[in-house]
Amino acid sequence: MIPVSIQIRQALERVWLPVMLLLSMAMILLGWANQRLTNAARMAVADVLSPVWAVIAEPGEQLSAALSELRGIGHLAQENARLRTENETLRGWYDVAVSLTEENQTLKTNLHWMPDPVPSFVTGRVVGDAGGLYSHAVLIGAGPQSGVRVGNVALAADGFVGRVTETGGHSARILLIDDVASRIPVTLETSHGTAIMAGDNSTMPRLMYYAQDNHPIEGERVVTSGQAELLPAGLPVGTVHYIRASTPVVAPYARLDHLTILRVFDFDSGTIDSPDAPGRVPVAPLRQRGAATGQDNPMDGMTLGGVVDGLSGRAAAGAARSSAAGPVDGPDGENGVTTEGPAAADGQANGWESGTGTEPETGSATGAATGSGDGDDGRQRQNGAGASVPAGDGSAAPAVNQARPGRG
Amino acid sequence: MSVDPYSHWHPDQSSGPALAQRLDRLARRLLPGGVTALMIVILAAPSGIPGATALLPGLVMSSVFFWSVWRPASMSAPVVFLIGLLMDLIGFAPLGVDAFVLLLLHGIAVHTRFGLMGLSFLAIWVVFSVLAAAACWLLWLLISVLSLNAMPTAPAVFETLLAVGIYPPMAAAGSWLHRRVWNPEPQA
Repeated sequence: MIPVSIQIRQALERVWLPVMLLLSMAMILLGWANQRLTNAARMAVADVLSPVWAVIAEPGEQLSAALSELRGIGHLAQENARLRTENETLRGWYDVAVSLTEENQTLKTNLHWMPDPVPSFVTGRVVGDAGGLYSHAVLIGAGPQSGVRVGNVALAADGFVGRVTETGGHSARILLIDDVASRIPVTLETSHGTAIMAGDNSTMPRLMYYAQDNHPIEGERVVTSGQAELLPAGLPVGTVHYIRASTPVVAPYARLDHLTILRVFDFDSGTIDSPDAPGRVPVAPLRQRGAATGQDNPMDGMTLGGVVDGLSGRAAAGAARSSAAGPVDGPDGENGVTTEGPAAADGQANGWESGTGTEPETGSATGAATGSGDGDDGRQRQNGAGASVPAGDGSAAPAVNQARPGRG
Repeated sequence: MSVDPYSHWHPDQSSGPALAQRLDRLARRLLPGGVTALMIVILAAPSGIPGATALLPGLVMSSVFFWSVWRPASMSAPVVFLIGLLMDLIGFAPLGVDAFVLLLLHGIAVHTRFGLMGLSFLAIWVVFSVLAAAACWLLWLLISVLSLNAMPTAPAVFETLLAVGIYPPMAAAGSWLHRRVWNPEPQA
């Protein structure tokens, strides 16, 4: 310590408090003005502390597991009986589920249902409470290194929990659905209504903005709605409950105050926009050139459709060239090959050979389905699309159209 | 550095115990703040303690108040500021809010400490209860203003009650520590 006189030390001590008060006010202003900086600081602290918290939480979890086991021993017989009846019921439901799944599968096949993309997910342990008194959030021990990104969706074993709002190095903060800042668009399954589920720091978030002529029904299931392209549709959230007349709330399936393990899904939401098309950009000008010179374009067959055709050995060189004329169709070529079989079968079964429908995708599927036998139709479509392909190479039709049926 | 051969000062002999003493003093000075910071970190872990988040402000407030009254050297303004900042960073409250409120509490406690020290425990408890309630509502107000959204009042009431309730055990532990650590030798 630096030796200073008593007077100076006393003066310093008197000065500390105002200085610190000013500094804290400066912090308030800084934190308010620059949210990104404060979030970075917070996540840095959380990154440092999350291993500590994981260590602290471990014995507590073991203790609570042991306690619940002890409690369970007391009424084993009751539990057994209850489980047996529940098992009977569930077996009935299992049969129902199996038959419904198969029916659903059949219907989807008939409708050429576009399967939802399979989400990737990581599972993380809840290592801390990152909420405080006026907000509800948890910290999980998985971060961008494990693929967690801002906007990802967190699910507990039994339902929707919240979304990732901040990420650090190897931790991420998840804002729970009962936080005051949380607004989630939901669908009510029985009444088919939509609403906004707004957190209010109680354990049951409120339902707002539902249609006045279609009130939520007590006990109906609440699932997420895909409307805002914020979340995938159909994630189970909870059930409707009226705490008072005309005050519907959601009783969440997930136990928001006892979260231990969360799965964080990357649904890659908001990708309903046009697919990014490899080969689309370079091919478009080449088509002009190819059309102008008429032949011998070295880039012929470079679209996916052309390549796939070449691999499957079903296309002549002319077909490959003309496939370059349909740049939009290129990228889906792979799909075309995989779904070609059923598409062809269904297309013929349903009598779509004429292919004159206004829906271009249907027409494309038809082209692939009918193959070169229906070459005229395919050529018409191509010409209609404005591509200056020499008439008469009827085999162009399957090459181009084949690229598309995955969408059909 | 040349050693003056006529000097009677032998740094090698005296620095050993002096360093230990200094470390000892430093440890004692940092103990209250360190314990408080440790409590903040531990209570943020998912311990399964019901109401841990509501308990934390009360616990920290009572700790800051107690040490500011009885050992202001160990709970100086920078320490209080750092504790508040840690609370803000861990708790995701608006930055600086806890630090500001705790510093106000600390300032009041330090300035009135000679009056408070003469009072009975019950009277100090009453004073702390009033101050803690004011602090909780100030926190509520600041957070509401900074987030441009009126926060629910129920947590503030709960927080106040817990702060009032946690003070006696906190003070008991504090005075035990106070006596043990600052007078390690048994009183003969």
